Amino acid sequence: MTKLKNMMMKGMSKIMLDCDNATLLITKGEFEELGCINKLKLKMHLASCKFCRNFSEQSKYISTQLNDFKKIDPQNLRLHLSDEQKNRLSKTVEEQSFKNN
Amino acid sequence: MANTNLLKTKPNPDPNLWVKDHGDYLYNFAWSRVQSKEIAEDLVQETFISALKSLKSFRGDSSELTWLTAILKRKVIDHYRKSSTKKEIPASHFSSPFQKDDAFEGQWILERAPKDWHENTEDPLQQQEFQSIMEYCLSLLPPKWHSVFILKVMEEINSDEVCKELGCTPSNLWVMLHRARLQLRECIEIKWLK
Repeated sequence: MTKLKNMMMKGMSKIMLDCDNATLLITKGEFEELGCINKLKLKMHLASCKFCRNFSEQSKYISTQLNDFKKIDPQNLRLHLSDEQKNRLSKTVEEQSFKNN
Repeated sequence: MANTNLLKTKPNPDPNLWVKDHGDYLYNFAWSRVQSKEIAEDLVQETFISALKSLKSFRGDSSELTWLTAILKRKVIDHYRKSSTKKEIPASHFSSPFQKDDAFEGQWILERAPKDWHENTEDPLQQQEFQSIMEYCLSLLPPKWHSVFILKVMEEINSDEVCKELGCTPSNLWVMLHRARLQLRECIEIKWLK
């Protein structure tokens, strides 16, 4: 009886994902096509796991925000070089130009 | 507008105007990728030096700024390659949010499981706060995970290329990316959802 139970558990764990592996697949799936079996496993897991559904939504949200974050709008810059920094950089350019000539 | 006209009529780059014309843009570009003002300034400086050395290779096919940005992009990758080869404290600082008990192995630890963010994502005020929290949480990632995360997620460089730069195996890459995501998510949740 316990043998059968163990076998069933083993069989189940082959089909069922835990949250650790489900979230790993969510991350992977954002970059590459998951195989059919993994897709199905993930679908099944997400259907029954609210936490991983939250994780999936959050991942998408973070990625969109990162995309905005990396786009630099010249009209609306977040940071500005201080005069001190500008002087340092200008000096470098000057010195390097001198070396090159 | 005057600026772009100037570029068109002037085929040769003028290094003396770089800091004034492109300094702030390049600085923001670098900072958004390294989350450190000091490193960002260093990278802009290195970009100017490299650009001056290869001034002859600038053919004017692209604008001066596009050309400088391409050099800076390379500098960002170099920075991450260097920082990820530095010896770092073993990954013990990562505490997995998943249970280790036999029966519940791999399931979320309840108190640390992802909460619902909807109330925050739908609030314009909270949305504004998000980016500075994300920037702060990114800066807390261990150097190697930070490298992987920025190169893969932000720069969208393919896995083989990232592995080549950082010297890691593809499966290793996914584990690092996975952990970086988990840590970033949790950090944001703690700071953002009050």
